Amino acid sequence: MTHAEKPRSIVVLDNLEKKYGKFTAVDKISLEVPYGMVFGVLGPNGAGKTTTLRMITGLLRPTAGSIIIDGHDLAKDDVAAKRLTGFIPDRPYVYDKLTAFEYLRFVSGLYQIPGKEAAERIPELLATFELSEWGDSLIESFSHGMKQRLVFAGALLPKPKLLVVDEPMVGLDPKGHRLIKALFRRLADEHDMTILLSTHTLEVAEDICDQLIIINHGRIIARGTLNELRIESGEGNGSLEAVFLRLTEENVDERRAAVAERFGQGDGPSIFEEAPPTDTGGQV
Amino acid sequence: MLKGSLRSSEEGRHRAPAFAGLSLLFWFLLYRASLRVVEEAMKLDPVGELLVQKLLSITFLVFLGLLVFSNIVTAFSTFYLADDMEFLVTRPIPKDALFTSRFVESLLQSSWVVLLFGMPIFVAAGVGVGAPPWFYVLLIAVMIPFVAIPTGIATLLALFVTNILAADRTRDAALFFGLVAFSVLFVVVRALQPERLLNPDSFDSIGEMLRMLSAPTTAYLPSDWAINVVIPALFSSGAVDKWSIALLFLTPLALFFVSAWLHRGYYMRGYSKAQEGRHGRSVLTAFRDWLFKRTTTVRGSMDKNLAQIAAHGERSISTLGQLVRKDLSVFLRDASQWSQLLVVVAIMVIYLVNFKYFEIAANENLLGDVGLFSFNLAACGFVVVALSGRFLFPAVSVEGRSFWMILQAPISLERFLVGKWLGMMGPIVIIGQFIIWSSNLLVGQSLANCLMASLITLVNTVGVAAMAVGFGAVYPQFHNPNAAKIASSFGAVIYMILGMFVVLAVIMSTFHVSTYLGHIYVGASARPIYAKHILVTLTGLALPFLVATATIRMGAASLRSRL
Repeated sequence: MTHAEKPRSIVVLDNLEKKYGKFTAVDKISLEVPYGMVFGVLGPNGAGKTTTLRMITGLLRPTAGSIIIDGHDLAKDDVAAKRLTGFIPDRPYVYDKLTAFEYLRFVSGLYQIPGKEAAERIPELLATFELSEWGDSLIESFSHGMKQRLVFAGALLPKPKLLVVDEPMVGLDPKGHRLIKALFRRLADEHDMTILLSTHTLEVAEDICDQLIIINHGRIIARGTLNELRIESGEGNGSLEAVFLRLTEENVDERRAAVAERFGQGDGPSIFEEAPPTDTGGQV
Repeated sequence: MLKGSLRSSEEGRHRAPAFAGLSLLFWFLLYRASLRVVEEAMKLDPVGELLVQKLLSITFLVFLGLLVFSNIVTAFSTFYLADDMEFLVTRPIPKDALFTSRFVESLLQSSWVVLLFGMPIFVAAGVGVGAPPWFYVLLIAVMIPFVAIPTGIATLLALFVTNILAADRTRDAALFFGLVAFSVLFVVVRALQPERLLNPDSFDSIGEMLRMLSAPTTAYLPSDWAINVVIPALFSSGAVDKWSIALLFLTPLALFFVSAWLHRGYYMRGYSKAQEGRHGRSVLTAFRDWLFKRTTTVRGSMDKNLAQIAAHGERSISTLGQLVRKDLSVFLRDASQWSQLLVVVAIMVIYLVNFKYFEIAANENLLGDVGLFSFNLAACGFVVVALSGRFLFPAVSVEGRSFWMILQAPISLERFLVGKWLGMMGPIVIIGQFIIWSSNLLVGQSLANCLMASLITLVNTVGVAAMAVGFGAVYPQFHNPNAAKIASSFGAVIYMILGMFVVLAVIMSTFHVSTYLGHIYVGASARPIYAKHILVTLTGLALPFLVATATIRMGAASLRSRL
């Protein structure tokens, strides 16, 4: 792809849908994520955040819709799309019987990184994540936080253009929080990396995200900068927490109808004798 | 992320009938084969009845060995290592009730295969001999205490081991004692020289044969008690040995009650020690840790390895190379796999010892040299299929929760499966070649035959190994941490059956040409071969490669469909 043809957004989701039987986890989401941003995905438990991120990384296949990563259609050219993407899951399941160094060398192999570059970056990343002295130790002896930091190192090793992060702060101590927040900002500002992260830690989202979306019941219900969300929610000077709670609040009947629709009982009103939820319907 | 076992309820609906169908087919074939043997034996006057009795004694003895082995492994697992025990021991469940439920579970788990596949042999004996109906009733009555005795012994042994020994490696202890029991019974069976029964001509005189047949198989073993009870019913002659009936029925009851009584006082101590063992220190764990340390730096420290990687320059680090390396490291450092290597050694020794005895049958023209050559190929093929099933079939499943790394990495699933195949096929190839060369040299096959057998075994191994990986991807169990259990799952049984079909197809399609070449090499006259024979042989040799490609693709497609 020539420079002139470069797409505006690194991630383009078009009517993305994921169903498990009759249950709709993600309901026709359309979204564009611009280059070089820290982009936050917020939402209550079970809203569809993780499912959306996992589809973007190729861990799940959408039921319908398309995902374009830097111009590569994930359904048609998944290897090229994945080469540009790094992923950090919420729980750091890695091969416990490898050493930290072997794990990073394995990642280098998966991404076919040139030997010289891998030899330079592996010690550099181990140092960044304070794991240098553990390079020859088996991962099974690591704490949860150390494993999480190692997964961060592995995800950054191939210098991805897009870093997808699901709940980055789980298991990290306050020092780790600070390290990760500063790192994300630096990666976006200095290396033009796009960070797409889902989090329940609203303080993190408030501190580092350039733009946010809020997902509820598998649909995007709000999108914009924090200020734009404040205006939309009517919480003029409120914290992100206040904005989030206002945007996701619903009465019992609205919630029932949304759940009924999501679980494949599309005739929700006839069951609950109420109107369907009045959200924005997922189109952005 | 990925569905762990079954793809859908629809697939689940097909699973039970498929398994039942395969079991029935196997049941029927075993019944027919056993009936044939019994009918042929009965024609040998005057030793027919003695021969049938001897064969049944050996069958009971072999089953006893299998039962003891599987009961010991199962008892450790159900009483001490099962995941639900942690929940159960914290509940207010009476000790006797807990013991009884686990005893029954252990009994059923370790005995159903023997019950299911042993019955056709005994039923065939009854039909072949023309036994009265009450023989079948008695047979069922005998089988119940017969399978319960090993369970009783195993629960006592497990209690003893977990209380007395440092239970650091309880699983290894289970396997060790199981193997010891199996080995003792193997020696007993070998001492009986059952292969001589295949060939009555190998006896110097009828007197010698009668002496061997009428000698008791073993003394003081439950298999002997069982045979003493069923034989009078089978031939409708003589009185049932009351002493054997008493021993057969009272022994399991005594074992059950003694075991239950001892479990009241000592079970919790054993259970607690078994749990400590998972984390505790012992000579074995110290050795394991030392070995891990050695293996992690066997190619030098991280700095040395970094220098090696840097020497690649702008050349990329190989994906396949790293996939293979990762699998080998993970496999070798998993201590639960080490005991499996004992099984591999046992299989090799048992194979070679038994094969040497089959030479007798070949010499007496029962099988003949050509028959022995083909039989060896098939038997070696079976070993290769079984080993691939044990070590390669679970290869995808053991990725477990780390599989996300592969799914989100820029590699195709086909490439990932090829990495598994290439990485783990090497040891199976070596074992297959070791067995085929040593067995053929042991019976003095010609060099030409040795080379052909080696080639056929090699292509079979290549194909079967890919099938194991491919089918392992079609039937993955990502949430099952026990590779041995994965290797005995429904998908593994399907793979084993189809793998044996491929092995037999290759042997049959290459039979003409290999026999021809074998005869020509030693200067003997041979049936001529034509172009069609060569074509069939080449097709046969290509078959494993075609199967390999197809199953790897099928496995990758199946994994994709689960996303």
